[in-house]
Amino acid sequence: MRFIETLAILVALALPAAAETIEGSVEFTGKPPTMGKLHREADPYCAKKPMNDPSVTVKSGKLENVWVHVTKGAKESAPPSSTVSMDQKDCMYTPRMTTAVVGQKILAKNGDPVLHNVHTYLGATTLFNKGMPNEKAAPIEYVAKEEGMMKWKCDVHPWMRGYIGVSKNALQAVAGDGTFKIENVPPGKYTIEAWHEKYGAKTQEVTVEAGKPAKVTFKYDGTEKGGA
Amino acid sequence: MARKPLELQSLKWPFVGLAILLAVTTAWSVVDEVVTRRPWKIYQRQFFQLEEAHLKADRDRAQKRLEAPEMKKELEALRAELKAASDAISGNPEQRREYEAAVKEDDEARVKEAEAKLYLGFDKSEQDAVYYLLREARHENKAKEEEELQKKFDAWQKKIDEKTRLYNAAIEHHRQTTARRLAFVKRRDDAQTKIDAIEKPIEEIDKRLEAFKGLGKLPAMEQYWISNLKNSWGSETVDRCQNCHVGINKGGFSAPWEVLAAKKANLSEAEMKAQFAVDDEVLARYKEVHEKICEDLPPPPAAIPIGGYTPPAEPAPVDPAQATECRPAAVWEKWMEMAGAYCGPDARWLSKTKTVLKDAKGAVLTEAKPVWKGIARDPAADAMKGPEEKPLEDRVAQACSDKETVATLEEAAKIDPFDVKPVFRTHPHRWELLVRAHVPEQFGCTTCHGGEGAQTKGVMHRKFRHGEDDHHWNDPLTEEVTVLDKKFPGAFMQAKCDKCHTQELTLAHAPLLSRGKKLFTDVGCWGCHPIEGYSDLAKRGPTLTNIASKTKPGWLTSWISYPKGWRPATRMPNFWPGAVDGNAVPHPEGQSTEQVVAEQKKLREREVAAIAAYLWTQSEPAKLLVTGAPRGDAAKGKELFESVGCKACHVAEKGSTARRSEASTERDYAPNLWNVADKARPEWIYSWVKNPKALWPETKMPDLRLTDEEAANVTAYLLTLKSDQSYKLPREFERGQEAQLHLMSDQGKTLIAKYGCFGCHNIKGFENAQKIGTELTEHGRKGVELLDFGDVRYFTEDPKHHQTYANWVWEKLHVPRVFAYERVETKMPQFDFSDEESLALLTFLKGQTGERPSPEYLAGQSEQKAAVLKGEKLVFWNGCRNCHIVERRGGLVRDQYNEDNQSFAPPILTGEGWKVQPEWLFGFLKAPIPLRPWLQIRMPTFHFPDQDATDIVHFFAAASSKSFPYLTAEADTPAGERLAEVESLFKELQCIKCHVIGQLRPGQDPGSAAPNFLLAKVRLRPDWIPVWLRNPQALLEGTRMPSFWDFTDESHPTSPSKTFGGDAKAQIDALRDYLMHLDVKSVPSAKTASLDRHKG
Repeated sequence: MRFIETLAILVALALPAAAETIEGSVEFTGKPPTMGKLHREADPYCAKKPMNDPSVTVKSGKLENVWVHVTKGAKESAPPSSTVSMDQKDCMYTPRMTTAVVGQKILAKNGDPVLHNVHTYLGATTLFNKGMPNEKAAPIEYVAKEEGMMKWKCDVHPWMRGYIGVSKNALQAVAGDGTFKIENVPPGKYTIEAWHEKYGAKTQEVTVEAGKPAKVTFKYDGTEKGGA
Repeated sequence: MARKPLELQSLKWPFVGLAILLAVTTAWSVVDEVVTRRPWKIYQRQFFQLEEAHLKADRDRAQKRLEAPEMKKELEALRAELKAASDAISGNPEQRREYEAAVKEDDEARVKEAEAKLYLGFDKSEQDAVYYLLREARHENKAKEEEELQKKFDAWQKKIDEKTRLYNAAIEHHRQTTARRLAFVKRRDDAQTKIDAIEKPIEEIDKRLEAFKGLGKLPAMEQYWISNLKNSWGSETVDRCQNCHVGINKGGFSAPWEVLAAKKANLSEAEMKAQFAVDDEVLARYKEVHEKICEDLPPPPAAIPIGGYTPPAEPAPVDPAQATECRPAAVWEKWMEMAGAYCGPDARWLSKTKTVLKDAKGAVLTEAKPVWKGIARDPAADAMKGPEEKPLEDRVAQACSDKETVATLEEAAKIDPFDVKPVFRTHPHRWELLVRAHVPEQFGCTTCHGGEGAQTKGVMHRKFRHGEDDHHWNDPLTEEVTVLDKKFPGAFMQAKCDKCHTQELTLAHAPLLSRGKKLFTDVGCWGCHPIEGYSDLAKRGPTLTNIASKTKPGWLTSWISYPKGWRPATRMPNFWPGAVDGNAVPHPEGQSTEQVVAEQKKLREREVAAIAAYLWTQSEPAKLLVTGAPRGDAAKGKELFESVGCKACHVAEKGSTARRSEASTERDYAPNLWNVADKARPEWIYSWVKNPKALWPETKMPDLRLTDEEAANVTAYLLTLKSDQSYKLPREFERGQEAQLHLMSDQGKTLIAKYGCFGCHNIKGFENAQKIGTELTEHGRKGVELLDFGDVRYFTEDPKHHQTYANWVWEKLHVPRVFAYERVETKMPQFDFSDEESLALLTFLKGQTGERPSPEYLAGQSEQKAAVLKGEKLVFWNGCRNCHIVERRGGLVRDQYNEDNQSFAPPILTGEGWKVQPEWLFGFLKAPIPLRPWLQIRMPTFHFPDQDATDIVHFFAAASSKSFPYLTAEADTPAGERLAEVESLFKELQCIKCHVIGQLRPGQDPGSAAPNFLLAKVRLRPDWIPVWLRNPQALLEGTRMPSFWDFTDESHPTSPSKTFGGDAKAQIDALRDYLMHLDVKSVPSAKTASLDRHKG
């Protein structure tokens, strides 16, 4: 008897977890623009490592650094206990793009021996702006409050950009190399959005059925305008 | 039967009859007095029922929450905790042992502390005695004695140090024991507070419900009697509106949309409770319905964001073919009512955009949208005489939409039964408008809402409808105005604000009035119409005393003939509207529109030539700086035009609407220059851009301090801006026609006097001419009997309904000559006001009643507020907001900057008066110096008179509630160790990574540059710097200045630096002192700021 009860509970627990994945890629169909050098010479420390502008990176026909997230149809999820980190290293934000759930803790560190200020925005509104004089500065802790694209900028080094896609649900991913996979998606109808810092947002409808992973392909041709 | 003598007859029955009659009439008069003539009692009774029902529902919900198992558990736990906590203090000896020990310990510690203090005091006295002897020995040069005494003194000092240590330890120990003792009390109090928070709400509701027990609340007459505030009839204000509008000043009866808006605006909990008195459950229901049936429009930003603001597009209406699910019209009315209550005026309503009205057969009824372009332009067609409007129920048989929408609406109607009728609702924005600004006991109702003094019903047996059905009521009580059968909510109520807020240009809750006031100022209506309060403004149009140096006769005649033909968004009106549109003037008997146009054109040609002749012959040569076109580089000029700041006010693009005036979206702020070369002579353009005020002292255009070369380049660029239009030289201006020209000029003078051109322009010979228009100071009080409606059919056919003040003004603004007939000539030119502009002007004019309430009611009576209002006018007039965000509004030129170069945009001036020293700002306004020399855009020189500059400085100080003109804080001079420590902190924080000392560092990116530190001591208020450093975002939202310290926990702020023992406050104060005394000498590498007058 005890066994059957336990089994029933286990089954009941397992049922809602019947979840699929949404997989896909972000294709770039136009001619990839040639990206110029970043003007890092203003700061002697940053000038040591010259870099190209990574805002549009296309590799083998795939557009990198695209935030893919479900905008309609998903239930709100509790924030994971893990921490999202955003580091400042070699006068760049690393990673350039990541995701967080509303309520999740974000931690910013400075790995450079120079002053950075972390100026974050949601749209045109400043969320916070804090100075970190050097690598000894205490990390900044911030809890994501509202959904949307949280943009990171350093006013001392105007080329620095970081992005954290904040969503109320956990159904999101970054197409870091141009492909993405969203896991634990309960079957249902969703609106899914891709967002790129230069080319803005594109949406698609997708239906996820039990036992079948859904496939989505977003296409950018480089004529789109929007983004941050 | 013989009649008895009169004195013997019984008068019993007549008396009985009379007595009955008397009784009946008495009873009837009582009933009439108490019931029939007291209809407000019915309203009050209904309201009391509503109030009781709401309270009971509140109580039920509270009770239910209290009875929920979790709550019961929590309460039980709290009670147990309270008991334990109380027992620990006052229970049996065993229970209170610990507490008593703590009390005892605390008492002992207190005694010990006192003792330690006493002993320390003893030793200090002893030392003082030795010290006295020591000083005496020193004074008398007794070396040996001095040495001995010094030893004694030092010995005492040792003792004192030891006792001080003991005393400090005793203090600390006492502090700890007190804390331990108080922890017991706090534990008890906390538990009690928590229990109260759960139980008190119900008790409060019960207390309020007491009033409804027994006979319940009885209706009673209330009134606001304000003896020192006269109503529009000049008698004391006595208002009794609240007897029917019972909930008007009570929290809890607001429409849901208002509650939600307040919640969204983050109103504090206490204010939410006081204003709306709804619990979270109700709020959640409101929200649910709102989310179902409303679509919020994002509010326009307070300051225009980078890249400009595009309002969101309207959603597409539902396709009628998809609207298959139908409900009776009555249901639709309910939906609309629901939408009104839950969505409010600023939200899109599902019921509006997603429902289609169909007739019984299913054919779509489209609501025709008439174009309100003024009436009687074509009397034959009489556009206004549309089909009689029938009530909606008859026209609309059913309301249809798609299945989903109908289901949503029906569901929404079930979720929350919002049952407060409009008559009982709380005053909108009660908190801001009534409680904080216009307390009804002081201001009454009719002061703002109008009304005809003591009169409450319409004349000619009309019903009590607040006067809206009676055109003899100049001041109907309803807040909306009906113009040509179209209703505009709110307009006339806003008009009322002007009698007290006369000096205020922008009123947050009166957008129409604000706009009307600005438009009235901007278009220059006051040039022809005398009106109190607008007599000291500079004439709106350019001076014409040296027109011949500026332009050419061909352009001049073409311009006067039809200004809009050349520049569509100009303010200059058309004085011959009939030559453009035959229906703009009355038709003489039997003439066709074409004939009228032809005749008007002939008249125009004659009159324009005469006026131009006068202006030309009277023109004196202007003092120009060059003759002929200076040599310049047009490409460089264009670059400069686009970067130096011209584009803050001007555009140079045909048809562009980018720089419209704050007063109207129809008019350019400053001329669109796309065809300027058609008009102005090269030498004029050059002299003008060098120094506009030298050619026209009252112009708004400031001086951008262009060098000769820059001015020549800009001139060269502007000369490329021309249209392909050709301008015919009028015959009179040809060579050899001088005699004819002078002859014409005499007629021209007469015409200028007739049309009043001198109202807006300086014209020689009219220096002292009187304004030609009607006085407008009391125009808003004009009754219909004082307005001439001419012989326009629309008005003559149905005078009762159509002859209203609003209709008259609307028509006059749209078609100024409409009321002319053979015996009355009207001269007002045609401004082509849009509907939006007309409504704003109508609102403004209606507010011009000449009423002057006693001073305590006037806005702007305090010195501070008066300074703000005065400054606001200067800010408006000089166009400061075209470049700067001033106190949260403005910043038009920011649309020229993108996200990456916004640091090159003009600075934001919110809180500027708190930031800078008045004396510095005064000097800066008089003669701007480049604060950020790396910027391309320049702060122009306005050549402000001293008084204006003082007023602007005072404005900024007052807007930030700061002292004016004196500073009230100082900064110490850091020296010695403190200086060394603050210098190391300054280095550690790397302030000069962005901030400039003197000038940019070699290789510094100007995009990351911040203001020059060397200016700090003359420019910044010493008390501002610490507040700024603590949290820059709090003073200037979005600033690039980061915060280094974290003051979230005010008593333990954190700092990234170890200097000053890591004490954030000490660090900030030291930095303030350092900056306020920083000069070139103390920073060896720095050079003086580049004070190049031609930049920045």
